[in-house]
Amino acid sequence: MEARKDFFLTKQKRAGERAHWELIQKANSDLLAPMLRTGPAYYLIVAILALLVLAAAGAWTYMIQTGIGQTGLHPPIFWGIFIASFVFWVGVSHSGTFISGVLRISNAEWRRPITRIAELMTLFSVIVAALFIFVHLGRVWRFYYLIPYPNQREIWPNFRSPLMWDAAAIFTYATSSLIYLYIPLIPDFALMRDRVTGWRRPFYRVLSLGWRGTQTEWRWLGMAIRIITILIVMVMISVHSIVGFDFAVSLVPGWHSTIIPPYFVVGAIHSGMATVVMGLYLLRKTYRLHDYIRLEHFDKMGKLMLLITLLWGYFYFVERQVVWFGGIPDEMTVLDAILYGSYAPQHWVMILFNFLIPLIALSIPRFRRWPLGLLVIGVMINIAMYIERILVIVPSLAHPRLEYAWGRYFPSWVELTILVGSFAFFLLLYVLAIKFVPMISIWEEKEGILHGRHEER
Amino acid sequence: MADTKSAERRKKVIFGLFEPKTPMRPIIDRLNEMKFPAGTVEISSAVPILAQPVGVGWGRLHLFHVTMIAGAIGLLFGILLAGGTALLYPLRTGGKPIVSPSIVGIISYEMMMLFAIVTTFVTMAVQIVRSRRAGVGCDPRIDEGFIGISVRLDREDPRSGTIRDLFQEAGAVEVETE
Repeated sequence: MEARKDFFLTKQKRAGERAHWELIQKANSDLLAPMLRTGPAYYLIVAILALLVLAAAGAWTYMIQTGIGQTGLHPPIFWGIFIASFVFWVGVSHSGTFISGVLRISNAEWRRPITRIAELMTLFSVIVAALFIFVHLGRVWRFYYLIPYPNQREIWPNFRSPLMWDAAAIFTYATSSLIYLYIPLIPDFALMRDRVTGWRRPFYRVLSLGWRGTQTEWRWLGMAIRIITILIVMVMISVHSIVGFDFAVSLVPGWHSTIIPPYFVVGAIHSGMATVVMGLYLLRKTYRLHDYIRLEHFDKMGKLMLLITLLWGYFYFVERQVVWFGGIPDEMTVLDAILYGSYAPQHWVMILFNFLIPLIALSIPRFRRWPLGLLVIGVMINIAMYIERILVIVPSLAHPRLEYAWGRYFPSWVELTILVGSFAFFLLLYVLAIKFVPMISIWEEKEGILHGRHEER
Repeated sequence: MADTKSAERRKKVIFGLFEPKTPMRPIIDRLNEMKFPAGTVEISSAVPILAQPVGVGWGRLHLFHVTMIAGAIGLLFGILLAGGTALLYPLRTGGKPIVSPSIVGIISYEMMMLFAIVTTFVTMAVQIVRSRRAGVGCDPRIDEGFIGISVRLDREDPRSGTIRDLFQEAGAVEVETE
């Protein structure tokens, strides 16, 4: 507590203080370096990702010109890859809010190098998710029918539709995520305003709001972060619950279940945390940020992932168990198709990647401190979570109550191109952001150093 | 307006730059004894300082109240948007209410959060921009962990010398008058 009375009257010896001081200078240069140094590999990656995004844009344009019939969607399956992708990306977006928000609320010291990476992930995945709404619309030029505004046609959006709840929730979440990302960036923007030269400087001057690091500014910033953190965690839970309502409030077999919204929230956090671990590994490796993204961070993320894996497994088991025990024929048709029928291979791969392998691997302490291992687990979980989103949507729609109407679905090249393009778009946004935004919150890292809580590697 | 500008022109800022390890409390206590009005003493640092100096322009912030009020307005807006428009554009469906409480609840909740978060952010941004009006000394070394203390006072204020001496005694790396 003595250390909290006066920030400079710490128990550190003078030598320790000197070391801290040097660490601050090092943090400034190390964490700004990715923004200031650009090699040819960077341009190559940007070019490849941009090409994939262009391919997806071309496929979408072709679909708009020739109609939604270019997709694999047909009766009775009207939701496919596009909606699965929407649900998946909204899920990924929960990583930032959950990790950053919950760790800030709990004042966890190890959050410092993770929050910015996670918050950026939130914003970009929400953008990609929102794009899929427009892709799925088909007649995208009629998108304004969704916006509530007085018009001569006396047409008004029907708020009874869960898709309108989605529109409200996603808009709120995207706006909140942008704000939540921006607020802790203000002191870092001010640092860049003073350090970065060239065409980016005027942007930083505007974005930093004239920040000079006075205690009045710090107090307003701290208060805003505290308030918005609590609110955005509440928004996060509501958003994926509402995405879950898209399914749960319908009467389709396999969807009409009260556990779907919380199950969606847990699944979202599962894929989100896996994505954050992937981001941590790649940034640490690419920009040699070993001093900031340390093994302890992987260890703690691994523990969190283990917890969420167990939670996800529990929710999944409960959902299947209740359906199986009830034995309602319509529901059993869908369940049988997933467990033993045409969707069984995907299902068991999903169980393996989503639950069994992460459970065993993350239970081993040494594995949790192996960054490459966690990257592999992260990739596995994301593949499995995407399969899981497909398995939520397709089998239920493929088996309506009347047997003669059953159908099969396989995505067309148009859908698959847009899907690949969406991943490329997400990565492209992230790669471009590296040149505009410090990937690790510099001021929070310095705060950790100065408050003497900078753990050794 | 002109009076304010001329009053500002009559002000000067004494800025002291200190090494990170310098104890701040004795300096702040001495400045407190000089009874400066609120907002005339500012401490600049690369990170927020945990222990806030007492009485040196350190009023309470009411951001939480702003959030609450904005949230209430958002809630009302959500009710009007989902419930009000359902009444204005009724969709008659057998056995279903024209205004559904659960739907109004969902939309109102989202609008409440949206209004609360946006208003909190805008208020914070306005306050940060407004705080620029106070004269504060700058030095790039603050980003490296140094601490700056700025005292804004009238050009004729006799305490100027005392403040400069105080900063020098406390081990200031640099003392400037702007």
